[in-house]
Amino acid sequence: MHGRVKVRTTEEERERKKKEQVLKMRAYRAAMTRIQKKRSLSELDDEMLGLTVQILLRNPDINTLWNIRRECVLRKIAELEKTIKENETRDIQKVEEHSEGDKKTDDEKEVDKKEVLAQQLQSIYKTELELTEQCLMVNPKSYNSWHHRCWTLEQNPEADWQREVQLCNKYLKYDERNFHTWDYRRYVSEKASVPPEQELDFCTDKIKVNFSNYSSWHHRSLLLPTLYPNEQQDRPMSEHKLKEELEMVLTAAFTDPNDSSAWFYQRWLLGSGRQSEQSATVAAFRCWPYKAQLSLKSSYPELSQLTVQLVSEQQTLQLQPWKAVNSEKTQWQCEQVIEIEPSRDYFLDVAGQRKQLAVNPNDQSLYYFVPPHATSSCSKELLAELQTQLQSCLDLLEYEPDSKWTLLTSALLMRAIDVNSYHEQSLSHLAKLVQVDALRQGYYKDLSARWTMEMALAKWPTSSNYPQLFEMPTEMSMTPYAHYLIVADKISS
Amino acid sequence: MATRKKSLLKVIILGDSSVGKTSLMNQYVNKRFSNQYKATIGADFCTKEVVVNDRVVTMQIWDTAGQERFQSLGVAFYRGADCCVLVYDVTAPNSFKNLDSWRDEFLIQASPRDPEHFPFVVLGNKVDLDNRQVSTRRAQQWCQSKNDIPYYETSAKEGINVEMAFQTIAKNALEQEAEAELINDFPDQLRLNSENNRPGNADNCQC
Amino acid sequence: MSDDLPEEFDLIVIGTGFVESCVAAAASRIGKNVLHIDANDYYGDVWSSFSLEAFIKLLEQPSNSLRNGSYTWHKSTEQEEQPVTSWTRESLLEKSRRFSLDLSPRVAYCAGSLVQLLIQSNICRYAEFRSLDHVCMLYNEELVSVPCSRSDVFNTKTLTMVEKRLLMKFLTACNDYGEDKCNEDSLAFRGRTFLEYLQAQRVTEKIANCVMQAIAMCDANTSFETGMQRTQRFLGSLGRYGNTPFLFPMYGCGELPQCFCRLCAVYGGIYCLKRSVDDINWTDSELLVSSAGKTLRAKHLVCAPSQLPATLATHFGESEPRISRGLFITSKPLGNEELNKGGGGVNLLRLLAANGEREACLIQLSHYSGACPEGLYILHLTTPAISADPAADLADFAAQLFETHASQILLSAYFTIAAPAAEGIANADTPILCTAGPAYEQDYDAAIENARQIFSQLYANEEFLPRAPDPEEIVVDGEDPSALNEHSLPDDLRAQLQDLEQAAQHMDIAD
Repeated sequence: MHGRVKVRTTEEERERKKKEQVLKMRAYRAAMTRIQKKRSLSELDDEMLGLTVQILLRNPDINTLWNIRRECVLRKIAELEKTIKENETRDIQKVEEHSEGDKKTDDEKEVDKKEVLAQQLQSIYKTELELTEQCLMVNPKSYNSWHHRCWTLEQNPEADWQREVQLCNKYLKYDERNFHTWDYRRYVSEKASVPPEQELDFCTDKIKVNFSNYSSWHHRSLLLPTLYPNEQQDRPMSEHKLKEELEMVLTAAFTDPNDSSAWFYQRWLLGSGRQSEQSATVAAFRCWPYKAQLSLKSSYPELSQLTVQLVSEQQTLQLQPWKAVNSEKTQWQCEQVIEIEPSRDYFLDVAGQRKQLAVNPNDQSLYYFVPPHATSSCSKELLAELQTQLQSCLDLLEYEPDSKWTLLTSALLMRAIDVNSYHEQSLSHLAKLVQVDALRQGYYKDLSARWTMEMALAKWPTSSNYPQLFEMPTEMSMTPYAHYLIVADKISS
Repeated sequence: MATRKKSLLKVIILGDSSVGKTSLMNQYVNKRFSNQYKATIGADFCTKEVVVNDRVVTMQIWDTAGQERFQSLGVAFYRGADCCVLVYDVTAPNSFKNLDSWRDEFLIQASPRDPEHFPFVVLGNKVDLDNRQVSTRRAQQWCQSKNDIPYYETSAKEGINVEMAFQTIAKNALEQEAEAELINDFPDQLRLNSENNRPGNADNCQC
Repeated sequence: MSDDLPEEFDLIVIGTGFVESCVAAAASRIGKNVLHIDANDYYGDVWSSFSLEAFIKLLEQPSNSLRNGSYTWHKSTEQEEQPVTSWTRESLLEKSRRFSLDLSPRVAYCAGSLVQLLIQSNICRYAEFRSLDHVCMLYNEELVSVPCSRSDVFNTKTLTMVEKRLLMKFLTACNDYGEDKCNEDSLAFRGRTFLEYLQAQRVTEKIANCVMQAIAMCDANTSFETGMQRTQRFLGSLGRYGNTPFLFPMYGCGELPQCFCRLCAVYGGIYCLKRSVDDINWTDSELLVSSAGKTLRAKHLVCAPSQLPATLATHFGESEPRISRGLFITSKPLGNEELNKGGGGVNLLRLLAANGEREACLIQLSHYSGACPEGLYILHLTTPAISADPAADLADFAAQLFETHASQILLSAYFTIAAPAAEGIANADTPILCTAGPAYEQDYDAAIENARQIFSQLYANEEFLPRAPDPEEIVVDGEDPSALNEHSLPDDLRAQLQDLEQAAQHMDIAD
């Protein structure tokens, strides 16, 4: 019929696709066979490069082919460098042979030749970069392509790192959540010495486009502590910047409470920073004439590597070796004969930290204790921001009393503002959360136990039974911070 | 992706009715020739993957769909062309004379940024026929006078020079596109059926 | 040349406006033999876009469908402050071709009727779009961006944190509304207004404004159901393309009819611009069109009201003002920098008259739309006509825009788009099917409905614009449909295969 066009039926289309697939497979096998043959003959030439392109463009994750390309590239470079060397020696000979008059033109020629060779070298790198770019179009998450790109750039002393940063900009415009690109960005922006301010701005722009982006928040958390250092080191960054960050992340959370990425970032902000502390911070210590026990704030791989000394005016005693008592490696023990004279002043030195020890009136043992998370005071400015945020959360709870996210955030904010006065209220929020979010009740109960224990430990040094008796708070389903209790003789429940 | 845009080249074919525009396209893309094609029915555009300078690009060749027959090609047809192929019939002097007006029409309607250097390619088609009326020299002269437009004499019927002509077209189009991308005229143009437009995730209110 | 124009057709379509082009494409697509003509030398009729020069000429030549045209060149008033950009009438006209000035501009919802039709019919391959940058509203006489997407809500400075939560919550509720048929709200608010519903949601005044003005596009009388529907249409169009729920065709709305015409042509439709119709007669079985000394015969005839021969126009009733249009070219975009990042936004603003009874739509185009040169902006103002004086109809809205928001208007133009009333068209006693002119609407709902309805009158049981296959899917006559030769492989693979087969042959011989 006039104007009607004939279209394949689905059956015919399937048949056609099948045939096409067969042909493609044939071409693929043919190319692979040829590649293997050539490799066995060590023919690392342009044909080889061409063969790998065809396959890689369609399937960029065949590692062998990238390896072959690297072999080819290295050989090409070696050959070029050889030519450059040969030219140089020949030129030296020529200079010796020729008279002064000819020398100038020879010099010019030599410059030209050098330039040509340098260009050839650059074009080898360029080909590799372009190929990876095209492969990344096929699969933006191709590990092999990203790796080959890094390799190529590392080979080239004149690599244009700036261009790589721009490339990341473009790639992240299409997919702002591709963590491969974010990783690559950190790598190249360091190479290109991109100022961290600029990186932070970039991050901010990406978050503005879409804040459900773990990579971007994470990138941010790496930049901020260096850009805006916090001198006391009890917060992740300077208080002024922290205030801005808190506002931004709370806005994200108010916009979409179900977004967990903002969430994680907020917890990081409200935390004390320095999560991955490498130094061992002493939480509690106790020593008797025959042994010593040491508890650390966070786990440490091998305490024996550190110098631990018991110091008094008269002598300095090395405490060695240490054995971990618990699997978290926070509690350690050293069996050694230790002479204690209770009337003297003793200090504990752990990798340079000096702590004054007290004497347990009960058994004359020496001890040291500091409760976990001593509340750090914050500036008026930050305090005001936290209070504003808390107020926003409480306002919202009027509208949405069961909002899980708001309940937890407000609890966290309360503790950041004043642990003591908000202790009960923050726990009541957790109790409510256990009801409205049964799925995560384990988490809330755990948190509740931690907070309760923190409070009990913080109050303990002022109690009359300290340090002999620690009264375990009631209704503890688990006992976090148990390693702090080495100082106590008795634990009542 | 950085090169995503570059990888699609839009080529349009212009020239009088029945000079063989559709046949050339069909010969190139489908390796077919049919004398039956009268007016262009069902001919829209063809896509073909080509390798230019070691890279695979998709060339989209747009036919006039017969709208040139009564001088009724709309301006929309010309939008965003990376290369313009002008075709005449070597046995029809009028179709050669009209190349001038086709070229002018293109420059007016498409209004490329740099009209002096916009890539055209001229094809003198139907060289397989005996009654040739336009000499190679005449055609070459015209092409030279217009900033050295590449010129090929083709036969869509016999497949003469078609492959080579389109290679040149692809190459020149790619160069044009590379320049156009630097200028980056209108960022974020959207094609409705394309997957690439989505902002990468569902950034909407459906929490 | 026109001598070889065939004389017999299944359908002759006169006028290449949006609706006519839709019908022509749909008929051609199902195999009808279509002739599509237009008296003008351009596509689109009153739906077309023009260069600056052509636009001015058009205003100077009133026609039945485009009347009351007037334009004024303005001198730059703030020249001393901005010596850098001193556009003049001459420098504008020099760039005449860089303009695409629309007679009937409108935006399309990303999931609206136009986009659906384009995708469903595969006509989308002929068009390109630009996502709108901002949907705006006037709040306390200030132009502000209405947060559309989640990231907008996150970034906006206009809402407080709690407001952000409330807006998101309200929109989420609207989005989920209707999934549960026995929704409490739907019972409680049946027969009441959307505004009442909104007020019951404990939202702030600012949020109410965002929703009423820009998102639901309601007035105080809009029913709860309609408001909810519109809100859902808005929300359903988010997150598809770009940051707002709206698209604008690159190079102007005048491109759209051409896309439909191309499909018609691809399926064999014949195109003839600059072909006017002198008279139309009919017998019981066919229509006879006299044009340029020829008589063209067709079984059916569809005609744009603007192109009806004078002898017939009276059958369809007098043309009346439908839409009052203002078009302004300015060197300064409306609103602050935030609304016009990187050289200007493509923005939408719905305006309400002081008494709240009338509304107008403003579309601002920057050069990113492909419709005007860099550094200049087109402001399209549209309102349903209430008089034959477009400037008067628009005065209230223009005042809201230009009195409080300093702008640098270089050219202001007004005109009226007229068409016969719908009843006139429906009651005409002729076999000619007349299309309706452009209506005041967002998107193309009414226009597409009009085309659909005409098509079904012509070809009752045929599908309206089914998907046109991609060129690769089409089988040439006589070919084995499932055949595949090596030619369908990409160049490099094919070459590889041939090389290898040759090599294999050589090896065989050698062995």
